[in-house]
Amino acid sequence: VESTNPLPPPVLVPISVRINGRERSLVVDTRMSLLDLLRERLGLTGAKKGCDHGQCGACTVLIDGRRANACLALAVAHQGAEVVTVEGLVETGELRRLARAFIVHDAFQCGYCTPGQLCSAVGALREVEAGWPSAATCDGEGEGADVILEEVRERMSGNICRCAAYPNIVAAIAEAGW
Amino acid sequence: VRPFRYERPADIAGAVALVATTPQAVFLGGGTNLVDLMRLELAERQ
Repeated sequence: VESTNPLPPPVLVPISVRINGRERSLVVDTRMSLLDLLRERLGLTGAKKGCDHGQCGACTVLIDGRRANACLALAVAHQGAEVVTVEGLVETGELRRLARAFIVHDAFQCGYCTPGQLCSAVGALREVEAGWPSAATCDGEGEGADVILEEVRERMSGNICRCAAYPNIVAAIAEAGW
Repeated sequence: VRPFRYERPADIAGAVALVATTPQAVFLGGGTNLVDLMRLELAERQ
């Protein structure tokens, strides 16, 4: 869209967000993503900027306990939210089992997607625990190891690994969580 | 992305009224596909 209008001034809004258990109050441009807030304003560089349009999952964080792409979340829309990043999962020890499984299974090559994979796996395991169905098992058919691997693949399908470490990522999550 | 205003009305009626009376206003859900399209300047909102 070719716009002939001059740019209006930036719109700045004060917000408070709880990030990794700590209350943060700051003034944000309405255009700022939660990802940029984390990385550029708070120095929390665990969540990665891969594609910046919601396709790769490298920026996955937990917002009010549910996984979400931080690159598509506008910071201003998350006034009062509780955000947990991979750094927060380290602090609470929630990551220990999963991280160990990633190391044992060598579930990475370059590691860029790993923080998103870990946050997403934590979110996925919570969803399983809460009884949320997935496309892989919605028909209720089958059981055993193959179904578990299929479940992990389906539930982790929002997280791309450009190195294609998928077999090891799936094995790690299956071992840690299911 | 062009600067825009963000409003969070207290109730549904307030949200509907605001969007109905504001040109170029739109509801924001999770961000897909409004935020990514705005970033590509394919969608423009006030």
